[in-house]
Amino acid sequence: MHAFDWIIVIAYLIWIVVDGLRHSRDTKAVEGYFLAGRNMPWWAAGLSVMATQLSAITLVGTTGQGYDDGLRFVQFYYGLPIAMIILSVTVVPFFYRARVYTAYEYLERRFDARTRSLASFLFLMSRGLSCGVIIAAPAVILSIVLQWNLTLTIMAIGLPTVLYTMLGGVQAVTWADVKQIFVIIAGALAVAAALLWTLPDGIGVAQALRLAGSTGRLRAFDFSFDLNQTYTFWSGIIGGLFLMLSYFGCDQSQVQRYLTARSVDDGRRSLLLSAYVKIPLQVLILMLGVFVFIFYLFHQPPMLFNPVYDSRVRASAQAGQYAALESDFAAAFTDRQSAARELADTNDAVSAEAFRQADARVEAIRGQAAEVVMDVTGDRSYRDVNYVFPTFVTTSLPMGLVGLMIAAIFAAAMSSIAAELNSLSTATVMDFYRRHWRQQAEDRHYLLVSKIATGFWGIFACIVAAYATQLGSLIEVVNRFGSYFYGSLLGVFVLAIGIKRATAAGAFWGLIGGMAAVAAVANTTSISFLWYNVVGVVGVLAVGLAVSALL
Amino acid sequence: MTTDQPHRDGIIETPDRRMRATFVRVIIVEIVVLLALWAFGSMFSS
Repeated sequence: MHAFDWIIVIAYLIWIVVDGLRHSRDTKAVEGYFLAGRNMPWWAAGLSVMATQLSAITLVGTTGQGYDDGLRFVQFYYGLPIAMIILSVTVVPFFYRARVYTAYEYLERRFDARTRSLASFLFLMSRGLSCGVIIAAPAVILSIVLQWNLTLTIMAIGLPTVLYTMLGGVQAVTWADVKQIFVIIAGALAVAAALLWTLPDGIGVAQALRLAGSTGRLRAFDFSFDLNQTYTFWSGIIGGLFLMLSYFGCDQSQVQRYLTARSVDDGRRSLLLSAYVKIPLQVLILMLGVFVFIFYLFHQPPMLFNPVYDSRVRASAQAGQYAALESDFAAAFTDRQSAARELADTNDAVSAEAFRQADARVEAIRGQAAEVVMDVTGDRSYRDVNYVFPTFVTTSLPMGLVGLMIAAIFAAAMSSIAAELNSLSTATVMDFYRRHWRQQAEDRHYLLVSKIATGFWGIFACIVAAYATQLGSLIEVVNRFGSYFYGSLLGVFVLAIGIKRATAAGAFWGLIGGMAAVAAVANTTSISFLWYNVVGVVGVLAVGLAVSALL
Repeated sequence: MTTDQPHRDGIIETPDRRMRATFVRVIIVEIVVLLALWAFGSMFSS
């Protein structure tokens, strides 16, 4: 990386930390630390909602999916706008008027302390671990692609975030999120412009899109009703709806964003901002991956994008087989380039078929190379697509843009981590420390404990990150992990808000029953993880209603 | 219903007219975005 790029990354880190620390002066009470005195403008809370959801995993993993699979992944978000409307009608006024700090606090008012404690405990476990994954995912990739030390990369992402979150509380988190979402969007737009700029002579934007389209990469709809397929219209609109309801309605890292708004309507507006913007933003990020695919039609890519594994295979007993594949790959790349030119010139069905076959040959060789990597390294979950975008950024973008995009990846990681640390601290202090251990103390005492809790979770996440290096497809790991708990948490809130005759015992056992149902389905079927959310809700409702009727 | 025990009976309040209009706008925008995505994909896929 060029010195100028380093300056951009370091300047970004200093800017975010110094600005975050500035807000620590305004935070002198627990309500200010956790809820910004319920005085945030709706647009800041709304941008914070978006920044929290958009992690580095989204930025790096989604561009990789765009390269590999095109726009298909956007179907995951089709249920989001509907979820936001449902939440605006239900939980936003409920939580806001209840004057709660955490979503789980409401469960005690409606049911009992053990249901609150169990729900909050599930949140702490799932989010505490996923926070580690959110740090690890970009750290692993950046350390491999840029050949940085992994531990130092984890610390470079984690420590500044812990510092400003611990000292500045939710105000620092929210205002940092606002800046970070703009850094991310600016980075994405700049890379999109650079990709368009580097189209080869004779290839216009329309021709480039036809090349991508002929491989099916511009199809954003798959109407097949196959429960084993992860990304279809139906899994997005139904499974995705339940996941979004649960994530934005029951996950404290998101609930806390809109609880900082000035009024119920401002809380609603902050959620509805994502309803308008999320799908177009996701399309932009996926299109970056699609245009990277087009870029590599005309510029020879490495056969595999992970340079560390590439070196290990070259030094192994299978180096000869790998070299032969590399020779085949170079020939297949040349054939595909010619076929792409032919299709761009003629735009007929015969050329399109020839191009598709040439592309399939390239992908088949890459698949064989990935098999060799798995044999040599033992990493059976290896997915090369996670390394495509960072490799492109660091090897093909001009000076300045590399620094901006690395800063954007840092921004995406830090915005999600900060919100999670802040919410983990809130749940720890409000649902456990203040509820069970020390109910009467000065505000100053709780503020100190809150800062210590934030620091504790930050260190915990960094330690988890250091161990979470074998991650497979990054974005799916986090979503899959959340899906084990999310559906059940949503189910218990549906019982609380929607069903008058639900009892405390019904809620508690329903929550356990829902998780058991998800575990059973996950371990005995090949149903896609997006459907676990539906299973969890149905499981909680079935068990919860039965227990409510019997006990 | 008090502030200390809000909505214990599970009543969902109806949003006002302005907010309902916003919800309708969100749905319309989503439909337009999805149609645009469909048209975009169809235009360049062969």
